Amino acid sequence: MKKGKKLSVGNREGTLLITILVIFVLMCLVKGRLFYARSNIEAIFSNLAYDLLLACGMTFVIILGGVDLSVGAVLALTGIICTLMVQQGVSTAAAVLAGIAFGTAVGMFNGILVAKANVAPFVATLGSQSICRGICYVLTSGYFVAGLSDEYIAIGRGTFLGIPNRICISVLIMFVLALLSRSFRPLKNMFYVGGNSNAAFISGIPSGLTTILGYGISGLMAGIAAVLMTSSLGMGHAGYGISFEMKAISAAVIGGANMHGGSGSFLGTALGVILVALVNNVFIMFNGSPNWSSAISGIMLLLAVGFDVVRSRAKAG
Amino acid sequence: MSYLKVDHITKSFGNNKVLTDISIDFEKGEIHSLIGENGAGKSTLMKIIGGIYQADSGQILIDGKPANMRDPVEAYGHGIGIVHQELSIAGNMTAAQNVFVNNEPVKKCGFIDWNRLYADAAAEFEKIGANIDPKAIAGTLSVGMQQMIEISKVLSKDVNVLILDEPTSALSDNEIENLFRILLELKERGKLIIFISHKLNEITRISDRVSVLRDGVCTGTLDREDMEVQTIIRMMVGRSIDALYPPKAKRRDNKKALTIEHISRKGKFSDVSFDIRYGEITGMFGLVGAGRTECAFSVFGADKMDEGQVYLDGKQVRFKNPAQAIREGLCYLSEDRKALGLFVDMTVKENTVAACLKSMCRYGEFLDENRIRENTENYIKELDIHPEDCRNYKVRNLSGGNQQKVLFAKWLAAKPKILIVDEPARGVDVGAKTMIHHILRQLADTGMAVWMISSELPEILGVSDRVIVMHEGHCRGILENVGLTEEDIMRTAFREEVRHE
Amino acid sequence: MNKRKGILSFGRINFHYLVLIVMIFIVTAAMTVYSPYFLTVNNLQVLIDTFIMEAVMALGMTMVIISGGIDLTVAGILPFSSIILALLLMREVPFGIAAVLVLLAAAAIGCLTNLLRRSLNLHPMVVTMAIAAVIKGVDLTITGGSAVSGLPESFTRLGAVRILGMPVSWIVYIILAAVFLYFSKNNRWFLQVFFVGGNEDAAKLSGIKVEALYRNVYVISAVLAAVAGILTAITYSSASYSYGTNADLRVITTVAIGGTSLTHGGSGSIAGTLLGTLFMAIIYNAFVMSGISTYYQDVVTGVFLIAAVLLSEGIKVLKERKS
Repeated sequence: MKKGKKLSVGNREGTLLITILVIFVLMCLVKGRLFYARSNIEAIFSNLAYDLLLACGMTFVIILGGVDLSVGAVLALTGIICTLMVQQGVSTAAAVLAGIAFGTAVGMFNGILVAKANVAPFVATLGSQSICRGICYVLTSGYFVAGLSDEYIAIGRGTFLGIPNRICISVLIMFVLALLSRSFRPLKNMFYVGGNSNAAFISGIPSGLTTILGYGISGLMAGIAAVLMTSSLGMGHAGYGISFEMKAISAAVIGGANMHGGSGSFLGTALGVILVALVNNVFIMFNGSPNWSSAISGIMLLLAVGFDVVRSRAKAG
Repeated sequence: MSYLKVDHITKSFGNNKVLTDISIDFEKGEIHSLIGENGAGKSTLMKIIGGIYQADSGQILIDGKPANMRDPVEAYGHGIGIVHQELSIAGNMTAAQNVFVNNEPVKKCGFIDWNRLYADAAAEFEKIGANIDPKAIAGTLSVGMQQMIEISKVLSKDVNVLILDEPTSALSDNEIENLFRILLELKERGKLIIFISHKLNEITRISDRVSVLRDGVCTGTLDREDMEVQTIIRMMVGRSIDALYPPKAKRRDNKKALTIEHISRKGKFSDVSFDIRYGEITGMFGLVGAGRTECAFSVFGADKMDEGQVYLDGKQVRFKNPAQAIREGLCYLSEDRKALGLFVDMTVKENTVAACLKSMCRYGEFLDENRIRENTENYIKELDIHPEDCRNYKVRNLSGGNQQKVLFAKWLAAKPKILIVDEPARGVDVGAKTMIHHILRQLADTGMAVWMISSELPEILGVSDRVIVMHEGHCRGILENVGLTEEDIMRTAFREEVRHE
Repeated sequence: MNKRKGILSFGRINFHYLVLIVMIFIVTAAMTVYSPYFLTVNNLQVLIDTFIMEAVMALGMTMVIISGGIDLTVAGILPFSSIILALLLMREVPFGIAAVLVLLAAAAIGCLTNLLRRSLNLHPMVVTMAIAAVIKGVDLTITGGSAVSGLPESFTRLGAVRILGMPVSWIVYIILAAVFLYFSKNNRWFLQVFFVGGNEDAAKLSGIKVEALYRNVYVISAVLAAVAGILTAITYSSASYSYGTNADLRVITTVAIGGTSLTHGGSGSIAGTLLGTLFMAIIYNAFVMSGISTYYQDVVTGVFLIAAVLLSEGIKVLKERKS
C-alpha cells in the first residue's frame, strides 16, 4: 500500500503512465521477444488511432454527464458512405468531407434529442446505434465495399516520419482537444454544464447548445475515425466498430472522466486507450483468444470506477 | 412522568455540530411546539426521534424505557410517525396507495384487497375531514391535499406521537384552519403532537407548550400561560440585533434601476409592481410560497412571464434566458447554493469565473488563464474567503460560509449593475452572515442596486433601505425602513386578511 | 356508481392502449390485404415463435424500467443460459436439475448487477453493459464460436411436445404473462416497485427496503432471460452464443412502445408491455412477409425506440400545459 502511494505521482495520468510502463516491462521480461517483436507492438497499436479518436469524443460526452453508444455504428456507417462515394468515383476530398459531415450530423441529432427533447442519453444513442447499424447492412447487404482509389487509401496508409498517418492525425487531434478543452470557451462550458446544468443555465452558459456541440464532436470523431479506418484497411464494412463504444467509455473513465459529469482529462483518456489496448494484448498473449476484447473493456471500466469509489472513501476517512 | 423524553441528545454532521445536549419532555395529549430560526436544529431533532438519523450520544425514552430506533419502521413500531417537510408522496400513485404504502391490506391469499384499501383510505380521509378521492392520482392534487394524505398515512399506522415538520408553509388559510382543527381533535384523543414551525402566531394559537431551539441548544420550554411573543423571540434570538447589521444608505438619489409593472405568472404571482433603485438595498420580504423567488426568476429570464413590463434603466426589457439578463448587468444569486449556484466539484477558480467567462477571453474565445487567476485572487482577498490559497480547491471542500462567498464572487465577477440576492445568508454561520450583510451595503454604496429577498424579518429590517412585502403572490406594500418594526411588516403582509375580518 | 367506476378507470389508463390497439388493427388489416397468407395459422405460429423470447424478457424488463433502471445483460444471459444448459445436458445432468442450475446462475448474475450498481454508484446502463460484455466473452470462449448441438434425445423431444396444440415455450409465456399481469396489479411487492420508481426517498421513509427491491427486480429480469434461453434451447435443440443478439434493444423498445417511461420510473404497466409485444411481433413479421430486407428491422427498432420516448415525453408536456 505504502509503495503504491509513493509510486503515484499524485495524479491520474502519472499513475496510469507508471501502470502502463510496469505492465510493459513485466511483459518484456516474461514473454521476451514474443512481446516486443515489431509485429506485436504493431498489433497493440493497430486500432489505437480509431480508439483514441472515439475515446476523445466520448470524453466530451461523459464530461457533459451523458454517454454515446452510437459511435461504433456511426463509424461503420460513415465508413460505408465514404467508401461507396469513392467507389462511385466521387473525389476523395468530397467523400471525406461528406463522411465527416455525416458523422457530425448524427452526433448533433443525438445532442438535440438529449438537450431539447429531454431523452435520456443512453436511449437516444442506443436508438441511433440501431438505426445506423441497420442502414449499414441495408446499404451493403453485409458485403465489403472495396475498389477504392489509391488517393483515398493513401490517407490512412501513408506515413509521416515513419509513423502511420492515422496515428499522427489522431494523436494530433487528441493534443489539440486537450489544449482547447482548457482554454476554448465553448469547450470549457462543457465542464460547467456537466458539473451542474441548472447552475450553468443560471450563470448564463448556453447548456443546450453546449450539449449539442459535445455530441456533435463525438460524431465528428467517429466520422474522422471512419475515414482513417476504411482508408487504411482499404474497404468499408457494416461490421466495423462493433462494441467500440465500450472501449471508448472504458478508456475515458480509466483516464479520469466521471460518469456523473463535470470532469475528464484528454491525456488521461489517451493513456486509458493505451492501457486497454495493452491489457487486451497481454490477455491474448497468455490465452490466445481475442474473444475477450470487449469483456476486458467492461471489466476495466468497472475496476476503474471501483478504484475511484475506494479512493474517495479513503479520502473521506 | 413524561411519555416521550429526549435525553441529552447530541448530533454532528462532519465538523458541524447541529444539536448540543438537548433534553425535552413531551406529554401525551398535548400539542408541543418547537420553534427556532432556520438551522436551529428543529428538523434534525425530529428526524432523530423519527429514526431517520441516529444521535451521536444521548437517548430517547418512551414511557421511561429507552427506545432504540434505527429506521422509520422501528419508529412506527414505537408509535412515532412524522409528516415530513418535503412531502414524501409518490406522485404516480393514487391517494389511497400512498396512504397504505408498505402497509397494504391483503386478502387471505396474500394479494392486495383493493376494496378494503380504498374503503379504508376513504375512512382515514373522513376521519380528518379531508375531501379526497382515494383513487385520485396523488401528483394531481394540491399540496394541501397531499399533506392530508401524509397525515392519513401516519395516522393509519395508529401512532401515539405525530410529528409535523413545518406543515403550514405551503398551505392556504383554509387548509391551515382545517389542519389545526384536526390537530386539536387528535389532541383530544390523547395523542402527542409535536409541531415544528417558525411562525409565532400559529404556535401561540394552538400549542400547550413550546420549546425553543437556538443554534442547536434548547433555550427553554414555556407553558401556555408564559407564552408571550416577546419572551419567545428573546429565547430564539438571544442577542441584540442592531449591532450586527451595517449602517443604512448614506445618500439616496432615488435613481431607478429596474421598474417592474404589473407582472404575473400563472399560479405563482400576479400583478406585482415595484422598483429597484441604485445605491439602495431593497428588501423583499415574504414567507415561503409568497412568490418572491418566482418573481425574481421571471425578471431574470430563468422562467417565463405571462404579463407585465420590466424596464431596465427606463428601457423595456423581457429576458428570454439568464444569459441575456447577465449581459445587461442583471445578476441573480440563488437561495439554493448547491442546486442553482455552485459547481461543487469544480475549483474555486472555475466557479468565480463561471458567470463572466466571456470577459476572461482573449483572441476571440480563448480563456486567459492569467486574468482568471488574477480575478480569483482579487475576490478571495476582497471577500476574505478561507483558506487563502483555496484557488484550486474544490468548492465542495469549503465551509458553508466560504461557499456562499464563492457564490458572491461568481456574481460580482460578472460586474452587475443590479444584483438580486435570494436569502443571501442562508445556512452560514453568524460571522459570515454579518460579513455578507456588510458586503451588500458596500456594493450599494458603490452605486449598485441590490434586491435582497429574505424570509428572515431581522435580516430584512437590519439590512434594507426599503421593504417590499409579498404575500401569497401579491405585493402587499412597499415600506420605507425608518422606524419599521417586525410587526409593521407582518401586518402589511396580512393586510388583506385583516381587512376581510 | 360501479358502472361509472369502470368507465372512469378505462378512460384514465388509456389513451395509449387505444392508440396501440388501433395501430395493431391497421397493420394487421394492411398486411391481410397485402398477403392472404398473413392471417393463416402457419404464419401466426411463425409470428409468435420469432418474438417469444423477447416477449418473455420484456416482462422482467418492464419491472426494471418501472423501478427506474435498465438491464442490458439480458442479451448476454439468454445465450449464456442456453449454452450452460446444453453443456450440462451433454454431461448427462437431468433436465430438471440443469434448468434449476441455470436459473440460479442467472439469479446470481442479477445479484451481481445490483451489487455493482449500488457499490459503484453507477447508472445501471453502464453496469449492465459491462456485465453483458463479460458474459458474451464467456459465451464465446466456452463455445469457441460455434453452436452446441447433439443434445440428448430426451431433451430434443421437448421441442416437439405440444400441449393443447401449443409448444412448451408458448405455454410458459402464457403462464408468465398471466402471473405478471395479475401480480403487477394485486401484489404488494409489484406495487412497491411502482412506488420506488415514482419517489425513492418517499419509499425509504415509508420503510420499503429499497435496496432489496432493486436486487429482486434485477434478479427477476435475469431469471426471465435465462428462461428465454432455456426455451430457445428447447425450440432449436441447440445452443449458440449468437442467440439473442441485439435482443436487449428489441426488448427495451417493446417496453417503451408499451408506454412504460424510460425517462421517469414509476409509470408503465405489464398490460402495456403485452400490447407492445404484440405490436412489435406483428411489425417484425410484416417485414418478413412483405419481403423487405430484414436488415431494415434494426433501423425500424431504433426509430421506434426514439419515437416511443419522444411521444411519451410529448404527451406528458402537453398534459402539463393543459393543467
